[in-house]
Amino acid sequence: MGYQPFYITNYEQDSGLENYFESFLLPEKAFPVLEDAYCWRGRVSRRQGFFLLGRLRRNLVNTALTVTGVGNYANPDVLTSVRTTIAPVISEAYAELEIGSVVITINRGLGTQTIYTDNIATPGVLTMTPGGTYTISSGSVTYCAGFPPTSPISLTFTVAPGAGATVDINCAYYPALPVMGIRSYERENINIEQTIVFDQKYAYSWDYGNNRFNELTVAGTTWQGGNDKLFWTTNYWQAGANNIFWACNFNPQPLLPGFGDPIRYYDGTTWTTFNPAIDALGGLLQQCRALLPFKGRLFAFNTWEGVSLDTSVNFPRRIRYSAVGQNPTILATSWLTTPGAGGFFDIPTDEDIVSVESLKDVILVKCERSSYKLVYTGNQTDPAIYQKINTVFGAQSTFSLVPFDDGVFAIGSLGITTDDTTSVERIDVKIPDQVFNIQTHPEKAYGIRDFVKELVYWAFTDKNLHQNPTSDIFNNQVLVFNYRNESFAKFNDSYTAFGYFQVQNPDYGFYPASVIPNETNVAAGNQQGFVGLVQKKAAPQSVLNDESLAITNVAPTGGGGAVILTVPNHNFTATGQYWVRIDGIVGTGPNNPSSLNYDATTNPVMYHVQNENSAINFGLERWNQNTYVFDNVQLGFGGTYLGGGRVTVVQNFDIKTKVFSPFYEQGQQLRAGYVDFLTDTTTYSPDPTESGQCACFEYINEGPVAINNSNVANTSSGIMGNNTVLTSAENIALIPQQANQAKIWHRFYLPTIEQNFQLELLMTNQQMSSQIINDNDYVLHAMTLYVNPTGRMIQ
Amino acid sequence: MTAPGTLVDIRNKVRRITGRPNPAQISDLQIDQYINTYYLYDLSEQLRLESFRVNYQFMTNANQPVYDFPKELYLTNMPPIYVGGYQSYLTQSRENFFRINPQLNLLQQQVATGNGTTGIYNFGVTNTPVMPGFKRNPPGAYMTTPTGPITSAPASVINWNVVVSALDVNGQSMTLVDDGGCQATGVHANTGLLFWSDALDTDLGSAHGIINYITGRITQVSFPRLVPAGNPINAQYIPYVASRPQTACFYQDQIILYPVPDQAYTVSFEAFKYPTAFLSNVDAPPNPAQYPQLQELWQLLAFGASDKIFADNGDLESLNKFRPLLEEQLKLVQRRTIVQYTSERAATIYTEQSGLPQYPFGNLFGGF
Repeated sequence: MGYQPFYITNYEQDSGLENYFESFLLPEKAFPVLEDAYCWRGRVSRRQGFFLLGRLRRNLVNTALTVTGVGNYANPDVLTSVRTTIAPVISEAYAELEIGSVVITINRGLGTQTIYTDNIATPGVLTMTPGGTYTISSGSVTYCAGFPPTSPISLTFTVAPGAGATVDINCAYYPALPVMGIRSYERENINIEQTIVFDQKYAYSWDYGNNRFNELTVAGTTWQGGNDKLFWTTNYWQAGANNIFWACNFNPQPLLPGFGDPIRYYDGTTWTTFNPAIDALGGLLQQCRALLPFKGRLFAFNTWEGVSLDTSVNFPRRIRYSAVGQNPTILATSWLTTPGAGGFFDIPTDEDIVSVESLKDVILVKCERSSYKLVYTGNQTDPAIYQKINTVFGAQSTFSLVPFDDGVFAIGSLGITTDDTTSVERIDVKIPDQVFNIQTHPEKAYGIRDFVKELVYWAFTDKNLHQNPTSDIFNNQVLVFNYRNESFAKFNDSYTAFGYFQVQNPDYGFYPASVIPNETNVAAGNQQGFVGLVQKKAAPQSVLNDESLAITNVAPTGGGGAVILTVPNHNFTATGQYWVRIDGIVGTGPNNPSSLNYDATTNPVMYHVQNENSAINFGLERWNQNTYVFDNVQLGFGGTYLGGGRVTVVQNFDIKTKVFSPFYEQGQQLRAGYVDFLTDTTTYSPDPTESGQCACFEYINEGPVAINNSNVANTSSGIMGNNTVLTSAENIALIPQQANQAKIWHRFYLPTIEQNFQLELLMTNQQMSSQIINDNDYVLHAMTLYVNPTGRMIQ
Repeated sequence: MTAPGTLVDIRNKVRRITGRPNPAQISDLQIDQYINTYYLYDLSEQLRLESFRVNYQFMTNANQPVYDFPKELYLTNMPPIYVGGYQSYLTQSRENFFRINPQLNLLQQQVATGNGTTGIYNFGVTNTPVMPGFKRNPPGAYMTTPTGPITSAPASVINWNVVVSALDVNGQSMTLVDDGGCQATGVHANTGLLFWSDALDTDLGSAHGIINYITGRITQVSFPRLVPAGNPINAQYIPYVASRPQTACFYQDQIILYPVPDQAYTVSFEAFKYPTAFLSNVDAPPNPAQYPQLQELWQLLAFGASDKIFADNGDLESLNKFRPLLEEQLKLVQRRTIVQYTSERAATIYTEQSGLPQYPFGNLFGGF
């Protein structure tokens, strides 16, 4: 009997990540493992790369440094003023100077004023601007190095200024703090929303002219919440010609007087502290979990109230509202608890209000384990009443709520649910256990809807990836929900916040072609202040991420040990597998650390991360295909790291099929012949080891080890060919037309006899070691299994 | 444009037939293995092509009766056989051969006498030279490997022709057998070793006697148990008179000649040889292209190799689809041999009458 073909395609219904059933009971288009790939419009598509907009940065203007002494000048850390704040006020411990931005001035404003600058072309070197008085034989700047990091400068004079000369610095620098919010400020013109990004301390906006972030206001309004104090914002009311943008981070800190943050609003120019009077006794609204306009009023949820921020008291179930139709920024009257004006009421529960969202003509209020809705009454004394929707399902993550027309998704402690104002139901029945892995810091989970790709992303902390947490844990995975076909997937990304980013007339010299003008592109920020667009890398390098982590130190090790990189809050764990590319290292001396930088010709190496248990450091290793082990990447002593190093996380993907057991019903084993994969055509190379490809591991009889795993030494020569599955043209000489095909059927042979088999599509260590290979897209449209029954089932 | 037929052409055709265009699906090395497997072991049996029918010849050694047939290089052989140019008798029947050339053992009583010890005994046999034993072919005690001779075979599996025996104190036989001198080097020698017949090893260290087949001198003999004083020590052997061999027997992939050669003679007969296998990884320039022995075989080799790939993959459907094409190629390739033979008349006893019916012309040297 010939092989019987089983054609599987249109990965739409009953597809995606699914763990409800045992793997052999899953639908044929479902995947028990689906990471960094997702089912989308009938295909299984590899996750596209993260496009970096920029790193959150701010400027220091004429910031005084220590004056000169006798002889040469050396300053051990020009960023000491932003680093040395005493905890818990936010310290910018890992702040880094921006290369090419450093301007040192001696005797500013005097006739002897002398200016020294660095340069992108020759980073690390300070040169005197012509016309200065105090000439130098050499000058150096370190952007960020060591642990704890510092940014020293030195000037060796040939004409010294003598003791007491003033020194100041103008520069841009990266505070290197986690992104705590990417929010949209509804500007006055149609279709223009300004993206305002928060880290723990500052607010920033995007400079469309220079394609970089700047601090939003020159005055430098700061916040000081912890790295779980995400920013809630809303747009309501108008001040003059400008709309008002409200922001709160639920950081009152009553136990640490002076360290709390108030509610603030931004009118397009300045931030204003907002603490309106709520009663005649001097009580003020100091903080709240959320703000939302509703029927001519601004509502505050889960409030902190008191005469001062430091003495305020939390009312976790309180809903406070302003007077109808009144400017809510009028502190004295708009929020006074007065019949017919402002007021409040408490939901009758012991749970905290965690989040809220508007849906149709009501506001959904999500408590920890229950859901309510606010319904407008039209009664100015009691403008809204609450109605309970569900007594089990609430929300544990304020920012996990994602609104749709017919419901609001939320991550609760017992399930991922949709709330349509009358009922709350789980939408995660395909992955019922996943919600219980959103742990350790469930309050950090963050969701957003991608209208272009018709996906929902939830960044969350997967406790399985943090077996041995050693410091702060940031979201380390993204749960992806395709709301068209109701399929799930996971991405291995570390994002602390999502938001929307809009650009009217993109300069495609900077933006990728996938950025749509005026569209709500999904932006994400991470724990080091890198902000970019999700899944927006464009061909031909559509898969490789942009850089997303900064290196603060490179430490050589002797004795054959691996070079150690200091990357604070890298968020890697020993449980995961991480590949990285290193770029941008500025260094000097013999054994220059810059030798680790990627170079397509001289150092085309993707590194594997080792010893990532430390939250600060990790080592580098590279794959040895001859010995099937990772070799330490070594760096000799003698070099000096000056900063600039960047880490690009290189994602693999993992598509694991169900356990195929087509002849269980007939009580027979199967002989598997081959599998045909229909994939998008990728890059062709005459060298088959550099063409677009992935690998297909085959597991038989539900064994734990793939029979053709080329990541381990395998002496068996019984396997015909190898585990490579090309996605490119297979042989231009024999099949010349293939290179022009949009899709190609690729045959993969798996001549085995077994009870069942399972396939896993991914990249091997060898393939991950090559950017030429791992930067190829993978889009699976269909697969055909060729099998026939053979032999009795029992072995 | 050159005519196709190189190893590269064959590989490409295999890739097309099997739908494995890329080395990731099957490597060139693996394809070459399938091509060579079909070429050497299938094709050579499916078609006995005229091109593979060759003369096989070897040289005799004085006093060596048995010669290995290189079965790794040749498939089969057939009469006539010529020894020193004389057409001789070639049979595959030991019965016929030994009826013509009876190899009766001569029992020589009491070539030595026990002295109450296990030995050492030194003595000689009277009728010489003595027919040596010979090594086994196929593999056995005296096969050689790249690292040296295999010497661990037990004595029970060697082909001995000399037996030395005695009775112990309990009347139990103690026997030594010879190895034909092949044990140490794998080739014949005029001096052989004697082993206890129940020895588990026949390496040099297990030898308990030496025999010179030419002089009949047997020395350094020791028995596993003592030979009581006065007990006879007997020898059985086959004496012979060496001369030009006139008969040959092909048996166990060996050629046995009789009479035993008294000097070097050229022995030749027809044989079907295996084709020459392709070498992998030497087909790219500057190495010259590799062709099959007959260039016209290239398509057949591609279909044959593909057939095996289908079989190994359990792809019987493809195998059945392509099998007619394989058979078509077999017929086409066979056509050359058929046409070549077509002009050959069937031989009769009159065929070789040359008009010069005297020695050495014509049938049986003019004997008819």
